[in-house]
Amino acid sequence: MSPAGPGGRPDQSPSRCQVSRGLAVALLRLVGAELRKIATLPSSWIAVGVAAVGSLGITLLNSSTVRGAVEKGQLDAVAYTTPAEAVFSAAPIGTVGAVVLGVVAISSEYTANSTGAGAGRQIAATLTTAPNRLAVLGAKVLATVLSVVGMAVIAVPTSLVAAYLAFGEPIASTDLADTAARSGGVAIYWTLTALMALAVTAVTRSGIVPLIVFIVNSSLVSVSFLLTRLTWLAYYLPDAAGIRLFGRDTLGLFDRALDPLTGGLVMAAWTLTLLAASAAVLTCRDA
Amino acid sequence: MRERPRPPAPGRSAPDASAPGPPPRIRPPHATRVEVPSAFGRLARATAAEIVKLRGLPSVSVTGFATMISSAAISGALAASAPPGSPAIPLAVQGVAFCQAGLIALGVLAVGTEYAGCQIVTTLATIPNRTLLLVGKATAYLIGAAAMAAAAIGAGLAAAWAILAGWGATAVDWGPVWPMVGAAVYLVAMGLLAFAVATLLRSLIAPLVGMSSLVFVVSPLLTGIGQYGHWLPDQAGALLYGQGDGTARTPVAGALVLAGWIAAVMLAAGVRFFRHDA
Amino acid sequence: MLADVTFQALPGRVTAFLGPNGAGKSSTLRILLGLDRPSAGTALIDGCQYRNLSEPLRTVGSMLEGSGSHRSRTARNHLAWIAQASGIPKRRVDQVLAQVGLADAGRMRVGRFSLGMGQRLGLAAALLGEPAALVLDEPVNGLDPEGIRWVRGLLRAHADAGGTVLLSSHLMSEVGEIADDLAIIAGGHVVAAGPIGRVTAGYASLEDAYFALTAPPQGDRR
Repeated sequence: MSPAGPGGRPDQSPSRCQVSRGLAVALLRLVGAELRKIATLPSSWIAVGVAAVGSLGITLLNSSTVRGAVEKGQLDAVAYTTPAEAVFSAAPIGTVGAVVLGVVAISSEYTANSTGAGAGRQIAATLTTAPNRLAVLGAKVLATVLSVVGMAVIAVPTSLVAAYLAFGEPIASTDLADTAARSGGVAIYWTLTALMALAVTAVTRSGIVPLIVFIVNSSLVSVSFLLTRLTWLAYYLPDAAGIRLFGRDTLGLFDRALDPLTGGLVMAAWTLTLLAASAAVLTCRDA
Repeated sequence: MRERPRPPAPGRSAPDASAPGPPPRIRPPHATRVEVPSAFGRLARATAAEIVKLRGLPSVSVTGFATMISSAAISGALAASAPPGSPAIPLAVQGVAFCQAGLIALGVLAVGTEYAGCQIVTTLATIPNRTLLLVGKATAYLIGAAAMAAAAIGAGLAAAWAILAGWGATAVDWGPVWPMVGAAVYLVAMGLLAFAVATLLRSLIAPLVGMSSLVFVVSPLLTGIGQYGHWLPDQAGALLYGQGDGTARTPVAGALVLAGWIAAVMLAAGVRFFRHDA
Repeated sequence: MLADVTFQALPGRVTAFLGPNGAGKSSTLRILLGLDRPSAGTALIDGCQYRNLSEPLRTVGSMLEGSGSHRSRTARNHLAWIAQASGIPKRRVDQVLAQVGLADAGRMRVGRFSLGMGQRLGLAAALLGEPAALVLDEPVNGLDPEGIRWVRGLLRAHADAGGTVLLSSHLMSEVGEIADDLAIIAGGHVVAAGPIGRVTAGYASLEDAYFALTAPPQGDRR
């Protein structure tokens, strides 16, 4: 809406500052709306809760097992002996939570209400509120990033604290830097996985296939790691590429995986490609 | 609180057989009156109807084909990276771990599609006897699952044979047969557990996410931490197709644990199904 | 909450069930069809509960939730499994699809149906077993004028042939045209029941009678 000049005729050329400020405000509003939508979906809270509680549980189990083995002197019965490793080997549970967050951000738009409630879908309301589909997708991406990072902020520190308490060791300063880097890495891994799930769901419109495919591929026994035994090219698949962002190869499962920086870039490239494809589909297709 | 709405049916109650006036012309005179079948006949009808329902879901056929193709691909990949002269059946059976996803999806779809929408209302109006409905659904699932498991394992075996034998160039050592049967039983049983979970949760997405996470994320994580995971259904059931877990448990013990899980969840699901409104 | 809902739907007549939103119309019908369980009391059709009927769909045809099918099924598949479960011959599927005007849409997925087509599919399922009684929840919801006139003709013919029709509706004009008997429910109680002439006696129109009978009691502080 351009301001009216004197005599009531609208000014046809707003300044660039006003346009960009207007766009930024509009985008912030959209992101706020998308965050509100995510926050009011029960699935989101269940995903965050299960990720946090599940990680904590697995961490405690890991820690008690390792501590028991260390105390008995059976160091070769366990694959690792540090608290940080106990926490990061539980990362796949957080991956599942991130996948659920990414999928429901989109699938909630396409779920039809019951016939009694008009059989409508939320996508109609979303697109009439904000007709620019790229802006809607961008806002959803940002909102999902914020939610997954929030989930990481809740899950990872609590698990770390619990692991260090369970181990009873003081924290060495070198450990701290490495652990902080790996925490950032696991947050990045979860975020990129959530965005890939979001992109695939935007194309399929139903959450079922992306959920199955991404959950099956979440852990270290996934299809990607099976294929790495066949060819080293499989290390360029997204979930295998980013594994060194947080994982250290204690079991000898991914000795030829890409180093953290390369792996992170490959994963980011996959994510951007999938998001670009989903953007193309969203803008071209009917709602 | 008393509640008695009464829409009666005209002229159909036995005491009115001698009622005066012309009989209602609802049913054309040439329509045959079908005899009410026995209990087995009613179960057969319910099962046949549930099979028609499963056949009419495109997601079921897609799941079946995807499971077959992925089983073949995974067994082929394993065979390609295995040393020459390896037995074929164990390679095919190793792919079973991933075929579970398809069978779990089948079990969840059989029940979940009733609750994703309002089809459960139609189903209960058609077959008001809830015992019959549940048993018919489970039977239809078992028939479909047996077919899907057989197809998947067969496809895996064919792919493993093709790679190992070089398309018939060399003879292949098949290996023991019983893991193959155990694998089929395991797949059908895991899908039945998913069926029970979906009946208990009365939804489509939650049991799918829950079972997939249990089998593909939680269970592998617990494998590396001592004995905690041994009582999980999939780890106990893995004994059926020869994946030893380092303890002295036999396949029969594993089958009993798995059956125990299925029975427990089915019981809870059945109680909820009978007591709950549609 | 329903309390002492008692009325009759007689054969050869169309009984309309009227009431405000949340009065208990759908709850009553669901209890009648055995879908919900009342905390006290019984609902009987011809002397027995719905779940004890030996051939439910041949006795009572019902439509409660539009099409009543999962979105990925075809219309034909939906009717086929219902026919299979009830022992109804397969040829009825084609007959009933033609009767409701969906003969060309048999192989279309229900998810792509319009609201009116979904209603027609629900009616087709109700008619599949050639039942003597029809129980319908808002049958003309979403239908175009041609569809409304068709439903009116269908229900009238069914009642004239001796069948029983029980429908719940919000449309005064439709109810006025088609119903012989009324049962008006408000706040969980039946506030009026009987032939339409008797219920609306003393009021200028059906609408006036409805609003007068369902108005909350004056000065009632419960």
